[in-house]
Amino acid sequence: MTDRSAFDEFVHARSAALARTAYLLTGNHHTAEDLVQHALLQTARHWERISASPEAYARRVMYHQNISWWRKRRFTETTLGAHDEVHPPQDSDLRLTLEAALARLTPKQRTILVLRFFEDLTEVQTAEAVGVSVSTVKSTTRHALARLRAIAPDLVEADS
Amino acid sequence: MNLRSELEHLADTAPRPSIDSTLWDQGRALRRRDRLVTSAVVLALVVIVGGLVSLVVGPPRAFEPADNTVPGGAIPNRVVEPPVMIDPPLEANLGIGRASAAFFSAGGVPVIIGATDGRYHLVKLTGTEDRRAALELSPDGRRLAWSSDDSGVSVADLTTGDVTDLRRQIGTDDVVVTLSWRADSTHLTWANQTRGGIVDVVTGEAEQASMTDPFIFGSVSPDGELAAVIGRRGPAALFAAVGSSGTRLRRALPVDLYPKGTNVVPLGWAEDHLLLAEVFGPKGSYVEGSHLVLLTSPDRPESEWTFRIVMRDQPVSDLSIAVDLIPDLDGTSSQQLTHDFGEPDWPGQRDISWIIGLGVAAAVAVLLGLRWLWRRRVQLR
Repeated sequence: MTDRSAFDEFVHARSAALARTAYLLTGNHHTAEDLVQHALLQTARHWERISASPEAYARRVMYHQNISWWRKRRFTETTLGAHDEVHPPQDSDLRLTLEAALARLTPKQRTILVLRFFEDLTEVQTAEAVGVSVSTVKSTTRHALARLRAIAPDLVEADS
Repeated sequence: MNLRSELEHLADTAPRPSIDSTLWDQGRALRRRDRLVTSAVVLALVVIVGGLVSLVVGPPRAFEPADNTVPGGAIPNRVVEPPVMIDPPLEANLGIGRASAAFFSAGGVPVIIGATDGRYHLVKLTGTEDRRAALELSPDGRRLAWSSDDSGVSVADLTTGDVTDLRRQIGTDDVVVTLSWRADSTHLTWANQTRGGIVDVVTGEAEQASMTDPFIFGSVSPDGELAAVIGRRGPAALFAAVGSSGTRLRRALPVDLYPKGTNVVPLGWAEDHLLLAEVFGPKGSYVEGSHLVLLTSPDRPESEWTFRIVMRDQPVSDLSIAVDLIPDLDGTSSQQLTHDFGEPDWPGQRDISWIIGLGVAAAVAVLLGLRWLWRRRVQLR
């Protein structure tokens, strides 16, 4: 199998999973798609060095790039409001509450929550993926949950 | 319902992305660019490290002009004043080879310009430390004569470096103020305030001469018929017939070039009837300031006269030129009479511009390398 066909196969198999994580990280369909495209581009760029675990590499790129984009855009962009909002098929009240709650977190808090509770990474793995210390992961998780608790008490109670 | 399951549900709403089909090609293009940048950085680092190592442990850099050399020798297309240096390194060995020009710098340092390579040599001439003496390069550029503070005259063979003291042949107690070579480059005329004479520097034969003889105060043509002399500012160059008559001849200068007249100082004869002279064009002249010209002597028909500017903006005073290095005129105005040897490198003054350039390049290369390493560490972790 050539590198090109292996890459195409990887994209075909895993782009949807990457898109799910990207959407949770960004909360925006367009930005999530850009994030996936960027991660796949970087994966193609370094393919020969990372072909053993391209998905892990692509995910790390997404984690870092999301925070990096936020740092660049926070002073220049505003949300598109309803244009970017999701149209959930079920449990709309609760998911809207979750979306709204996630939107009020910082990208760092949001990323760490996604890694911990959606990607099932340990604190150590999360710290390594984001490039921060374990104690930062712990404190950020604590603050993020506290904020969620204030915004959506039902959700956090259910989680706890 | 917990947070994980809610995140799962929320993620389910993410649409399947439409992936650009050219991603692989774009990624490969970026990869090729990465390799090029990496290669360039590595090459820059190697060059910089090699350059710094050679700078520290290598032999001293030769002080040579950047331009080429002329096997037979040539007059430089310009002469520059050396930079002011405190205690400049002076060459004691005068065996520097054929020279094209010689002069005292504004700081009183004797300077000789190599004929073939255009190198500037700051030299040590005995007896010239306290005052600016006469300094004359022979027409063939192979001998250098100078007068010393203690009434002596010395001649250096620039091929061997041997110096001959002519004090005994001249036999004067006064300081010699003028020196002039005959066209054969073996006879040297000298004069002080009261006396003059001529010395054959090869055989040592010497003659005394009257101060009224034109060849004492003028530059004698190769055929010995005419002497070009220094005149006051005016519309013509002055010449005198050599011999008992001493007839004065005037050679009119181009009025359109020097409407207010000019001073002409003879430097030597390039041919029997072609004089090289230094001319100072006053304000309003076509060529202002000091410059060197070739002009036909007045003993030729005016229809044969030529007037060529050889060197403009000549900055030094009492420049001596090896006139034999001027090529025979081919009658075309495009003929190159001088050669561009490039910027001179001065002994004792290290050119640090390239070191600064290397330093900046090194800093940029190191920053690029660090950035590349950092990005690689972050992205591959």
